[in-house]
Amino acid sequence: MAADQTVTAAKTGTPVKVRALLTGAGRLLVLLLLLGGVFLTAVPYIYMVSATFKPNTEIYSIPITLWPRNVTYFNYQQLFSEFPFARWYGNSVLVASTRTLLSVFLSALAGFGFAKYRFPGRNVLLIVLIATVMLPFQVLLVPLFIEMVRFRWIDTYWAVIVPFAANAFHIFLMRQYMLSVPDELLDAARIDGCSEFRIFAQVALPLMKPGLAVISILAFVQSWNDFLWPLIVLNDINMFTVNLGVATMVGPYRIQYGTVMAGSFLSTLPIVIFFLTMQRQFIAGLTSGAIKL
Amino acid sequence: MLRNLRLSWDRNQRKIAPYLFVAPFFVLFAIFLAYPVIYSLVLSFYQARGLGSRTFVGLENYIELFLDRRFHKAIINTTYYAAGSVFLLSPLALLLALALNAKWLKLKGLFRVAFFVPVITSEVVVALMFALVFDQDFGLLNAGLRAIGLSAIPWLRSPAWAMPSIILLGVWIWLGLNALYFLAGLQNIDQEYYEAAAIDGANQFQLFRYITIPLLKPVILFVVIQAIVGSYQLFTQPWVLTGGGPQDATLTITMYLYLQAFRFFNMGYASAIGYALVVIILTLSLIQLVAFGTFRREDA
Amino acid sequence: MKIARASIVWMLLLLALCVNTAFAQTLEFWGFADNRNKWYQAMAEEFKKIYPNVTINIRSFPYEEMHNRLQAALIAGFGAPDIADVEISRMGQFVKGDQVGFVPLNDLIGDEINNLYTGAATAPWTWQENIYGIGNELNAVLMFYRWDLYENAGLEHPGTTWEEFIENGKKLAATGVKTLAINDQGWEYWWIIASAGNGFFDSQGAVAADNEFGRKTLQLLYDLLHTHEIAMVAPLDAAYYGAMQADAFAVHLGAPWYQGFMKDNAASLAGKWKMMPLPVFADGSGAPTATHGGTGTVITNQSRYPDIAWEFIKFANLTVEGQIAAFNMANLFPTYTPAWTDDRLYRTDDYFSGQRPAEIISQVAPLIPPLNNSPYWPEVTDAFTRLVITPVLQNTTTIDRAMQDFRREVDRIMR
Repeated sequence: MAADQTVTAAKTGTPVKVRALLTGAGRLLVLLLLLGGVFLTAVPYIYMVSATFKPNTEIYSIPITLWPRNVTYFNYQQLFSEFPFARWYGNSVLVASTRTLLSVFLSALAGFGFAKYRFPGRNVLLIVLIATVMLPFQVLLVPLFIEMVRFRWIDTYWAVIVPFAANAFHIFLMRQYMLSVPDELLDAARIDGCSEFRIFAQVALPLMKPGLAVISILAFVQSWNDFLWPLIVLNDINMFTVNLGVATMVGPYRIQYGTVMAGSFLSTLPIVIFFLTMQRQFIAGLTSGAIKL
Repeated sequence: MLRNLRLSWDRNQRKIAPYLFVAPFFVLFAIFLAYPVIYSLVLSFYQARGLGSRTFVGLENYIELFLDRRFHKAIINTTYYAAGSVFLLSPLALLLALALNAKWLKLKGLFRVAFFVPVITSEVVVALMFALVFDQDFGLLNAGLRAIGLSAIPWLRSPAWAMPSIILLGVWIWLGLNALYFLAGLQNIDQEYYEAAAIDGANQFQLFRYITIPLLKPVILFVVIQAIVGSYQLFTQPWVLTGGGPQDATLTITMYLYLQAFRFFNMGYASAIGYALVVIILTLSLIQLVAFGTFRREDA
Repeated sequence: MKIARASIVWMLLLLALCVNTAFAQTLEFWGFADNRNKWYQAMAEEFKKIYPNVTINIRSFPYEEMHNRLQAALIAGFGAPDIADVEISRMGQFVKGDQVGFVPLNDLIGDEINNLYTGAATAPWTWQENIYGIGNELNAVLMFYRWDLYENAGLEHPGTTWEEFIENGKKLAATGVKTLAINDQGWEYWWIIASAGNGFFDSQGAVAADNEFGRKTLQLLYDLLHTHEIAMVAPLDAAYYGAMQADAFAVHLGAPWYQGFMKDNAASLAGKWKMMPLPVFADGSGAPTATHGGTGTVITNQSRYPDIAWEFIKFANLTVEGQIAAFNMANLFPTYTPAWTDDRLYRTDDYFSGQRPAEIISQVAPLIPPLNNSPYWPEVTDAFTRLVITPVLQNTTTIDRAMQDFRREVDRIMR
């Protein structure tokens, strides 16, 4: 549990010592448990990466090896010679970044509207919004597919960018962030004669950077890792996103696990790097009050 | 005339603006969500088997569903998983958050990132990785068990172990995200409460029990609702790892929906399952919200 | 060379059509099995030499998703390919409504029906007398066995009756090798053996899985696992080949297509396998073979060029050249009988220790029990796995109780 805390009393300025629950040995135990947790988290990844350098026969042999006995690059060669892997990558980057931009813009707008105005119908719309967060996606599968065909969006980037760009959960989060922007600031801008949109764009939005970072990451990751929907609306192998591509490499009638693992590894790498570079903003964003209900 | 319009816009801006702000979202919403949702609601009152004509059957699909033992099994399984999420994952995440929030802890950045990476890994990739972890003969887990002298466990092969395996996988995936939510909540607690209590001589446990937990209530609510909603939509991991087996031990509600729609071709029945799921999730969430007294607080 | 000659013949015959269709046409093909897709890809390239304006796009998806998305497209009325591969056990779901989304092929096949082994070529894809697909795989199951492991135990082969199979299995077990790896979450082996007594459905389409022979088969599998302990629970997917290569078990019951999978995934065992017909019971019941798996090619009713689609299917499936290519590339034994007399079919196979697989297959082919399909195939087989195979083989219920549960579920499903 939590460690001791030295709390500084604001009025007197003298530190008040709280009796600690954890001392030396306890702290060490917590640290060891945490490191154990990190190990358990990391091991499947290590095993995946090591499988990419193994011939298929070694992956399924006893005793299992954490490190490959016979290092092979066959799986990677296979990946790029048998599949348009580079093209899949390009598709994923394009789709994920466009959808992220769209989603961030839409959710910032609507989040602002919900947080900073009282207007007739607001609560009804909010309840509708919350309800859609809970709607199982599978309910939409067939009707939405029919819609895509009618729009002639099958095998286009539109089909994977637009339909799920409007994400109720993102709006919900954005609304929480916007609530923390003081109304006085907005009123001051109004007195200066700003239009409502300018208030949003020039006053509220800059204050929302941590929130925007959070939504960006969520939206990007979601789009990059999307599976069922792209599978249904993309037929052309050259239009595949990398996650879909990897998934289509598996099945009871094809079992080159090493190659599948190589694809999995390469498809995971950019998202992890993306997160590592953004994680400071992301965590700052989350901790700056995303979830005050 | 134009000037009047201009004036009236200026005067009414604050009334019209919010609608304009939320409009783009609701336009997309209407096209890509509302219409399909209504379409499947209509479908749920029809017997639509395969290709061709549809027969209006009223509530028959819902009645059949009420009596369908496989559907009951799916509800029980999904609830089992949800219980795992709420009672195993959430407390673990809270403990992790408390540890990460401790001032003396080193390597905080590493821990936060390390536990979070599974959340951003594609569910397909995770399932593929864990096929190798859970494999009875060639899997990592059983290799570990054998190494310390225990006997192998048929993780995904026995009805008793299959769902616990999926729950463990759920913990592995979602622990970091939930811990971050809690961490955010912990860091938002005003230090003055602790000061006041500390001056009154409260110990660390009392601080946790009487300050941290009550002030964390909204976050706990958020995490629990998230866990329940997410759990009731569980699909990808059991789908890739077990296909719902063995003996339906990992059949979830959404998987049953998917099977009825896309393997058995009963579109009407599948739509009814979808709506039953919506009702279940909404009910559970409402109970949560009421239990935590959220509505009262929001209105204040 | 022969392919080139055949091409010239085609060229002359179809010149008129080529002139008529002198604009580019692209046909979509969806498949799920790597071995078949490779073969169809090669066929598409040959086809282009005859029809330079026609491009066949061979697209590959995972098994489950391919069938499901095909279904979604047929329901939607849009977005389906021109041609698709449909696996035998997934055909049922496509004939469930009062319309079928595929083009009936009866008239197109015409007299060629006499050149087909219809039990495998058309029967599984036929519904209410309409033939919707052509299957080119004669999937006569044989018993593949590791002669080296049996030799080790002082035996020649697994046996010609199940009783002998069990006795030999005990001797083999003494050397630390199980005879069989049985999947307790699938119906493959049950189906293979039980086909001799109807399998899942009788010829009228009624469920027959719980008849006497079905129970007898289940008892056999149970005994192999639990009473005699000469079988192991099969690892799934790729792990199965791992156990195979680790000499954990010595026998696999498989159709010709499975040979290709063994060569790809257990290459290290080349020369250690032989094949023979399946054992029968000592009382004479059972059959020396059965059909297992199979894939038919269909034309969807959304195709804009059903005629060309048919020409392509015919080119690949109803020509000796196409079928020899399928045999060479994917070990698929043809259902197109004129190919049976072609010498190239009867080559020796080093993986199977110099045996001639086609010889053995053609001997047992006439003895394949008929396959009875049903629109309820997916649900019924699924229920059978869930309520019978897994609990019985995991020893959590009795055969009688499991069969009762199954019958109750089936009555509900087919109501």
